[in-house]
Amino acid sequence: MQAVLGRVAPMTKVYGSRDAAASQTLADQAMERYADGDEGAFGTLYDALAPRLYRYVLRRTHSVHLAEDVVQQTFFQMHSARGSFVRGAAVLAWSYAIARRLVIDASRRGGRERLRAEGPGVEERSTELAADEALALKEEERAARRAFDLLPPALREAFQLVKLEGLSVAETAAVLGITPGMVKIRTHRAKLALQRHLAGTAPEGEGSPAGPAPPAPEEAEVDATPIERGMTS
Amino acid sequence: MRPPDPSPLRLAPSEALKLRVLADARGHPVAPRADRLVPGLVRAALAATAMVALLMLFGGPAHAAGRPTASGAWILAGTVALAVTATWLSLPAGRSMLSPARGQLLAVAIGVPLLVGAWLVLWHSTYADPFVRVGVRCFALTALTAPWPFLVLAHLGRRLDPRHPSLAGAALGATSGAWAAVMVELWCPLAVPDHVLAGHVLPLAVLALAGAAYGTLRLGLRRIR
Repeated sequence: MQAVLGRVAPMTKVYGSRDAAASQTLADQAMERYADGDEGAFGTLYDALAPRLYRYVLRRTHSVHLAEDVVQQTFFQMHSARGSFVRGAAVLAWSYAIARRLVIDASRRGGRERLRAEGPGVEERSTELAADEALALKEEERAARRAFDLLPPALREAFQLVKLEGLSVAETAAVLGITPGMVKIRTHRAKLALQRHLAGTAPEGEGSPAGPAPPAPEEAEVDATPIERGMTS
Repeated sequence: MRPPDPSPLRLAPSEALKLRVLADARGHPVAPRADRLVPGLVRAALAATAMVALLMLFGGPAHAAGRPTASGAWILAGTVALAVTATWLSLPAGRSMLSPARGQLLAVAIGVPLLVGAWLVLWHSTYADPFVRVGVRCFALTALTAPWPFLVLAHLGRRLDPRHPSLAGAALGATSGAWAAVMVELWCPLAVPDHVLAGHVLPLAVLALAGAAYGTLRLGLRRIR
């Protein structure tokens, strides 16, 4: 059981804590400069936040067009609030909260569309693997995707923000408008549910209690993790 | 055989997106940040002046002469405490661009009307009401004085709530109602339940609903194009 849990953790690590902290600091500084009148800082703000926001929205919508539209709208909202931006406010949680709301609004409008194409990174890696390894990997992706999709929305959202997006518990609480304690509970429950599901569907020898030890989170594949691939395919 | 998908799923935003975002910002210029403290204080002073002027227009605190001074002081103190607490709970905390948690805002929107009513009715048994009124004038005074603190609170808020704009607006409406209730308690000596319900609780509930409508229209995100 512990091994399965260990396998879930690295699979879901997309942003290392160092990357997240760096982009967050950069975004905070850029937004401060932009609010104070530095026009060029908006480009820096975009560079610091857009990749994270794009991937976040893409995971939720499975649509490139919708993801780009939401990211564009998110930055426009941030630009519109330039004059009222509170000195020292955290930009990351605010931007995620805006993007999340725009995704919810878009899905309510019926704008949700699913594209089934796979990312080029996934294709490249798959072709390098032996046929049975590729098959096992595909199976693992599907299982991860199924497990993630089966999570109740509230648990999935908290788990996604904390584990996939690298937001802190406090930031996730701010994005979702709930208490940090509730975020911890939801994330823990989501992890348990994933653990149970993956324990039931994991291929023999991989992630089973008797299987090999999981890689450390820092060593995990960043660009094409099974859950990430599962969610974007 | 399935035709090839025209838009493969990219894991990074396109360069064209950045150009579009920057073009949007250039196309809709927004003034940089300015000091908000002084305008906020000016608004608060103007709002207080307008509220006091309205109170005096209705007859001032002399209208509440039939109520025992001690009861009046306790009622007023409790209402002020409620208004201060509601203000603290309904505005974004410290350095944040996001409004408080949903439960907190909901507690303010629902709790303020109920607590104002309960606090008044609690004092009903301590003295005999000097006269009987339905509560129309209390309703009117609340409705006329509440928009002023609302303007101040809306200014102090962040003007943009991506999470729950209706609830944020409802909390602001109820809070402004609590400040209006302070003026009304200075003026109205009645604490009989029927009057309290019609003249003191109902207008606050209406203000919370009006605030929710304002929040939906003004505090929520608006799409461009």
